[in-house]
Amino acid sequence: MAAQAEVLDAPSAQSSVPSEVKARRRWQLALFIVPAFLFQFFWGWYPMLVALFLSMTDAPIRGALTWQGLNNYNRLLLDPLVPMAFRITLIYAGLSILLTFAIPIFVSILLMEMPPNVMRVMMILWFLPLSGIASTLFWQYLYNEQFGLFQWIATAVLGLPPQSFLSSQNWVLLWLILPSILLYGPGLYYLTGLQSIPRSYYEAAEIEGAGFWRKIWTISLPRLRPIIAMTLLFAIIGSLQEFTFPDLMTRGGPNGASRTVVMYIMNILNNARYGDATALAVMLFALIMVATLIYRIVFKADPDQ
Amino acid sequence: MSLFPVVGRKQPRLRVAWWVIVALLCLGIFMHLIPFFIMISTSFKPASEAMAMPPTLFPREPTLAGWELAFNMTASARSLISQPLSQYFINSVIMTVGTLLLSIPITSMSAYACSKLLKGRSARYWFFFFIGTLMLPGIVTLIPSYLLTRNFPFPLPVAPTIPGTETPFPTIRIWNTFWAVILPAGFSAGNFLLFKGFFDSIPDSIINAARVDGGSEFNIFRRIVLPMSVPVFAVTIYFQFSGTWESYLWPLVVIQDSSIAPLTLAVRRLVDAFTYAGTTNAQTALGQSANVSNLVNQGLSWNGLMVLGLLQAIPVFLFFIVVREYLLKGVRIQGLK
Amino acid sequence: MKAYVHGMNRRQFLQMLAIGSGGLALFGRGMPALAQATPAPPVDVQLNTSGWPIEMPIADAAPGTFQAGYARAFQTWLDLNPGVRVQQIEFNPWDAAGLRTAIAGGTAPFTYPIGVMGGWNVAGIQSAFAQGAFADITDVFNRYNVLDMLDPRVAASTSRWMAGDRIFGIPYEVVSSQGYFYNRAHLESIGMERIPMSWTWQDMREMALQLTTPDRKGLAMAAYALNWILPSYGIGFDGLVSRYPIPGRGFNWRWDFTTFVDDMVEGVELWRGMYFDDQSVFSDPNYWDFSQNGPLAAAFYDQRVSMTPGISLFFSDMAQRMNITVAEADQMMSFVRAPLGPTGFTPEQPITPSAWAFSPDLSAEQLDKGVSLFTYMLLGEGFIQTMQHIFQETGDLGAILRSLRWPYANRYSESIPGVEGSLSQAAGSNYSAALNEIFDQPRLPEVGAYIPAEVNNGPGDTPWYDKITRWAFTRDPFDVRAEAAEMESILNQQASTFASTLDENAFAEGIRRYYADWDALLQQTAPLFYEQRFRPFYELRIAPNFG
Repeated sequence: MAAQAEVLDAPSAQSSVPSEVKARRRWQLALFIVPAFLFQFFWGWYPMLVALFLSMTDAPIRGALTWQGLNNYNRLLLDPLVPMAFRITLIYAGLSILLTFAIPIFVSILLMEMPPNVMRVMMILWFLPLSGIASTLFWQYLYNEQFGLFQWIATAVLGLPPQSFLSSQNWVLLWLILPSILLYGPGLYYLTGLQSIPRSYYEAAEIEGAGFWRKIWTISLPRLRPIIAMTLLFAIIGSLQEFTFPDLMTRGGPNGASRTVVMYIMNILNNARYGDATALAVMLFALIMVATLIYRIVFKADPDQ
Repeated sequence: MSLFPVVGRKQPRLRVAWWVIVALLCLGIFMHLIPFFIMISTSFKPASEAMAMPPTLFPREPTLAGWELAFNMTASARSLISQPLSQYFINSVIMTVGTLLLSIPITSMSAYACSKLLKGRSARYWFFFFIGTLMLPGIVTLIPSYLLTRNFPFPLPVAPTIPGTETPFPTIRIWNTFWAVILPAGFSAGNFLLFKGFFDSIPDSIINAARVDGGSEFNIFRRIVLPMSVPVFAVTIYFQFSGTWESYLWPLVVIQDSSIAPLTLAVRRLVDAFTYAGTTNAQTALGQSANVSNLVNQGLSWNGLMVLGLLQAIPVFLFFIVVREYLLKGVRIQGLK
Repeated sequence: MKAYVHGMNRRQFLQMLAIGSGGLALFGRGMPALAQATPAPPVDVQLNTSGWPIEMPIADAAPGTFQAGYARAFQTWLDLNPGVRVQQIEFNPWDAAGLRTAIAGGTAPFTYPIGVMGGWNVAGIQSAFAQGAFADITDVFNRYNVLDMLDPRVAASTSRWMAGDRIFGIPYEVVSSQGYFYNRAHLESIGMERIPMSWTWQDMREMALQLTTPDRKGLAMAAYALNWILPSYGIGFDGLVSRYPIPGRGFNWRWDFTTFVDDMVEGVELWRGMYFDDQSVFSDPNYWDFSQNGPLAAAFYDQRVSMTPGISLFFSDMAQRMNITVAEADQMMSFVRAPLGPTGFTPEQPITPSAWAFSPDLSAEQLDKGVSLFTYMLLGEGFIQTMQHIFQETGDLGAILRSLRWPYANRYSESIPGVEGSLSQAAGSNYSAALNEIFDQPRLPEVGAYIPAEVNNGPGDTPWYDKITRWAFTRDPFDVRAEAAEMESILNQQASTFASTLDENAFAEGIRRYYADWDALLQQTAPLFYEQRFRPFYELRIAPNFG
């Protein structure tokens, strides 16, 4: 763990730290990091490395492995459905972040404006226990092309001809993303950051004549920046692995227009091709890593550094 | 209430704006409530009505059948559910609390180290080390992880023999114990991100001031950082709680002894049995259908599924109410201008 | 009982008589004392069960319930097999990821459903067997004469539990072909009494239109309608005239959707005519679930549709969902096999068994006891004893039918020794007549029964489903011909990347027998299809390599 050598001390004392203090700091750092390192290595990276190895074998359900080298990867690269799944995954992730990421942030900011008791009630209502089944049932009804609410609005209210929703190759991704606007999960997390902004900041801004939007823009959002940086990273990683909801709603249809990479991995797994599925997962890993690196370059996570 | 001016709050323009915000928030809540309402309403519908299209808003013939089935299920399905439900509940509590006790300190300390103790390139490497595992779909590491619980540290069905002898290497087996659920969750990469984001938002100046005062890093963490981080701990504990409480696939493969199995396993067995309540060999018809996974997961006796879904979610919801108080207790950072 | 006697050997027949009379003798005394078998030598064996289909007996079950009879039979088996412990474990064998993992590490229950591991299709099941997911039970299967315990029609449908001459599963339940339940009153309103098994999709379209009224649709249909229509043209992912074998070391199958693309166009237009023009179908792109609990069946219960897809197992559940007795349901609805294609072809296997596999980690002793327990409780004496108990206590054939799904894979679908009355009558005479008519159709050759199991499953059916779901519902313009060609090239491109693990000669020999059997069958059952589709395709694609 040579990386620990780069521990930075308090900047003021950096130049003249006695060696025993340095040693003590190093020891303290180990206290913070070693337990997490052990768990993350053995239950995180180690199985991943095994999976990486398996992706280069035929990985039968049981019995001896046969080394395949890059055969599985070659096979996937020749499979026309693989680039298609990657393309759809990228569009899906991009769209869903574009359309849904900002909403919980603003909801949290607005929620902080409510009197404490109102806020308590609203939070409860927002966190009523919901099964995925119920939401799926609900959205399947909305999108039903014969009796659904949206079809009714389109034909009876707007006077349009009957519309395609989940059967429209061009629009299906948008319809799939729409429901996730309601998911308020990360909102809780923004509240933690918002609460630690001293009231005095806003008061000072007000004296300088800042209005509603200006306060959000110059105080709330900048203060939330580190938190948003992490949720955005989380959203990127998560949305590139989207699986459950599209699977329940469309099974990847029509014509594969909503089949993400993880859905295709599941297809391959159900086809008893564990080696290929693992190889495809490794390819997805590479894509997510690249996306993360680009993100880190574009969005400097920590302005202090 | 920081965005609205302190003075002149009673101006008509501002009052309208405030009510618009209230209306927006209520709209969001309303949209969130509809699926919840459908869930409750469906749980009181007879099985045939539960799937009607278009759906009925209120049950035409309200019935308690779904609830009765759910509560009587243990009597008629004793061959499937071999322990009292309270036992499964206790097991879930043990697993969840054990995971929280192990994972929250370990994760928060590593996140703090990455946020405040490490700088520069090493911070980036460690950061990648800690979150990199999020990037591979978990389904492909299921088998290696499971094999590790069987023969740690070998991800193999059977431990290899020591070269030149017939004796296998000594291995540790945590499979089919509580540890098989708790230990692999010892570090949570998702919570790491949440902690890291929050610690990043704490100005370095506070910590440096404490360092000048001569505190050890651990004491700084415990006495200064911890008190101002109550809300983020509340959130991460909540996420970890609901994640562990609802986890299904992992306990399914690492727990086989009914006396230590968590509630989700029992509920899923009930759900599966439920779908053919009245017949004893519940699932067999499914075997015939190319559609099987879908049938099991969503197609069956919706009224009963809704009841079980509600029952399963109640502890998480109650826990949320507790956590919310801590979340809102957010200690303002003092002495910081 | 008489119907099945000819398929038994003499010992089996005598044994059955003995059981039958034993059961009758019990009738007065209510004592369980079945065949006077001697206990096996003691062993030390533990069997872990997931609760399906071997559940743990409940000691204090109320008399007359299935559980009570089951507990007695179970105890009888334990007495006959000293030293065997059966342990219930917490496991859900219907979860594919969980089961795959448990098999990989050796913690699976002693028996589990075969289809879960193979995506429910024959190729997948055989591939899973080739990958070692199921124990080879050939020896113990023969030792217990399991074949003699099965309904002959089930015993003949081997592709889901045999690969070549190896046996890896035991059938336990059966279903008929995919078919349609229809409302008999609605049908009478258009002047028909019953739907003949020879109906075609065109007939169905006309009937659905006639049956449609302002508040009723003629037909309910699942999202993969075209996966049921196109195969009756011989076209599908594994269609008879859309997929062909090739020799060599590479993957042995290729697809051809261009030769009969006109048929595809016709089938797609037929469906879209029903759905968009006639407006006679209740359907939606996300109606995946056609079970008795799904939206299609719900519409059928409410009389908002007249016909709904299903399989024979749904019948009694449907009655229960409608809160009517089986006899009433038998008056209200009936069942017919899926329609034929325009040239008289059907891809529907008349009977499909659901089989259970045994864990490859079982020792020889465990496997022996496991198979013994399984067959005893579900196919043999334990089954009889369980049912006798229910009948003795309740005197009700309906109670028997409610306790296990009828019809059975064993020989007792018609009558159970010691139980008076005909089970098929009790299950609904119209319904069971319709069912038997289907069951008695000739079996279709399935390629899995002719060639050894392939380790590589080859391309999945994803491209096929991609296209048919789009064609069924999209309102965008599209060209079936162009997309069929595209699908063909995708599948062939994928196929070219796999290698075969099969012996070339064994494969070629199996393929020849397979197509010879089809040839013989089709000449009999669908001469038009034979002349116009099968022969031309055979000459074009198969004869050059395997002729």
